[in-house]
Amino acid sequence: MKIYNILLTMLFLGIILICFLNDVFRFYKVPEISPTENRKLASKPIFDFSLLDPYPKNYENYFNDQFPFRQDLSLINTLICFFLFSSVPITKRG
Amino acid sequence: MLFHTLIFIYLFLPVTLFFVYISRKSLRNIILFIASLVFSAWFQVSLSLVLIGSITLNYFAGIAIDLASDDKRRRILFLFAVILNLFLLALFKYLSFLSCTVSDLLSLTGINPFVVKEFGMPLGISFYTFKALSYLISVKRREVPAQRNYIDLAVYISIFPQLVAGPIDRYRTLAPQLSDPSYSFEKFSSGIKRFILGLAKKVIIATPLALMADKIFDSPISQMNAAVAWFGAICYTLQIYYDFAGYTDMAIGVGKMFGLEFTENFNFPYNSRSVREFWKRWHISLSTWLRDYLFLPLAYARSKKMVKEKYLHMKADNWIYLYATIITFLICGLWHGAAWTFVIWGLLHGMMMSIEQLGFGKILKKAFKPIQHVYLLFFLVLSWVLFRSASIQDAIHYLGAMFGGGGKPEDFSLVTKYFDSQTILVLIISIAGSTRFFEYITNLIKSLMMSRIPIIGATTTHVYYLAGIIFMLLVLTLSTVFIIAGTSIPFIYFKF
Repeated sequence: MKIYNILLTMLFLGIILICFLNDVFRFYKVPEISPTENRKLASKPIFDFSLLDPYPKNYENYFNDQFPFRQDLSLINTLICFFLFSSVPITKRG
Repeated sequence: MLFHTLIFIYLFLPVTLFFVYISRKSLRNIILFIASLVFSAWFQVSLSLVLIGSITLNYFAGIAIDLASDDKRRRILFLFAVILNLFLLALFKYLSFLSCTVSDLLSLTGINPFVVKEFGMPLGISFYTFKALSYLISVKRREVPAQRNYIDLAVYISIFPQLVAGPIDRYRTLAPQLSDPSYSFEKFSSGIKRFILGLAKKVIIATPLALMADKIFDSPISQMNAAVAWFGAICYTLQIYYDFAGYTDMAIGVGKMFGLEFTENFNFPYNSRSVREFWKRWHISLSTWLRDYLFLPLAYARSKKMVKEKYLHMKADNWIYLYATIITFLICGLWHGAAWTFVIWGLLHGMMMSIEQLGFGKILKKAFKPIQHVYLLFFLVLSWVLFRSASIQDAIHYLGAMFGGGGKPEDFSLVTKYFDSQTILVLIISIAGSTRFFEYITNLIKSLMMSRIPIIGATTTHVYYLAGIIFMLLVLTLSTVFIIAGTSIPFIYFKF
């Protein structure tokens, strides 16, 4: 069943490459201000050799905010919580 | 960096895969090392220097041990290197715990207590120190020659899939794979499946359990009764398994994508029927490490000193087992964390192992099988309370609440307030998944699909594989949804 191994590999790579594909094809435009959260999305941090320790966290915040279809995926979570579990989404970040 | 983050799945992983697969064989370990450094530095850039320090120390120590002219010099160099490794670990992990303990003892004699400033703990220091020690032991025992290539040793010690929480692969099993990894679509796709299942265990199963366990553990004892306390402890028991097993699945999955086979770390541990069996199925790479490099040498050294057959009416063999087990589990507890709760947790497991060895195990084996399961699960749930609690005092209060010492009347309806549909669903799936239930169902479907009737067999086989792919991609998407929703929490073993 080699064909299925190849198919899964290609589809998985296609999904995890979504950010790069979006950079090339621009199929999802990230808004500057999130309409659902009503906040300005994080901007790309400036790399500074004298201030290395906070850079990863700042870059990760930027990456998370720029993730393609972020708003739509977040909406799916709300719908799952509301219709499947009759609850409101809980947010807890470590 | 953690596996269940967008930046790992959608940036770090594809970039590293791309560079490893397009590069020449001779450059692959360099790329893996750079990737591992970035992975480590993502947690805290300055603390990743400790990892480089550990690699450099063990690189030169390995060569020095290998080149030693006689056994005595070899032993001295080895001991020196082990002490340096343990010093690094103590400095970054145990300094605060040691200083607090000394300070508390001094305050009893009237001397003013003091506080030592913590440096912070480098990512995965307990894991990479044990891997480095495994390398030094192998070189000292002449099982392998010292690694002359700095990068090859650095990749073994720091390889990113194992950096946060293992598995603690031995040098002699991982090093040959690192110099000659085997790539195939079959291995890559099995790595994808393992990674996605691990991600789901962490994000879809362990996280809701963690939220529930945290809610109960963080509430005052006056607000709970026995049923609530047991519910919280059971949620934590399942959480820690899915959290750690999920992480291990992801690590093994990523390893496969890079052509590597890591050691399995779990084998349905909650299916065990004794504490001894549990430790053969839980965190296998750590328990075998402790068995081979601590328990057996301790037992061997003690056996040489105990010449009589019996001491105080007990066989010398049992004394040796008792001695080696208690010390090994004391170290095991301390390895998990720099706090008295972990020490007591380790000692409790060591004591139960010893009690089973001294005769209880034989009685247990004759008992009705469900009773054996109940005995183990009862012990585990209670011991995980110690593991979860911030202090011994908190653990005693919580354990007290589990046996009727809570502030609320013993009314079962109180616990039902914690029952929401998501938690109940996750509990059912997690309990079923900690047995072999899903494995049985998967095998059943597979055997039906692979029917020997030619036409049906051929058609359903394709349906089976296609359905498997769709299922995996849906689980990946759902996990991404949950990560984006911000409902993910760090791995429990991340802090070790």
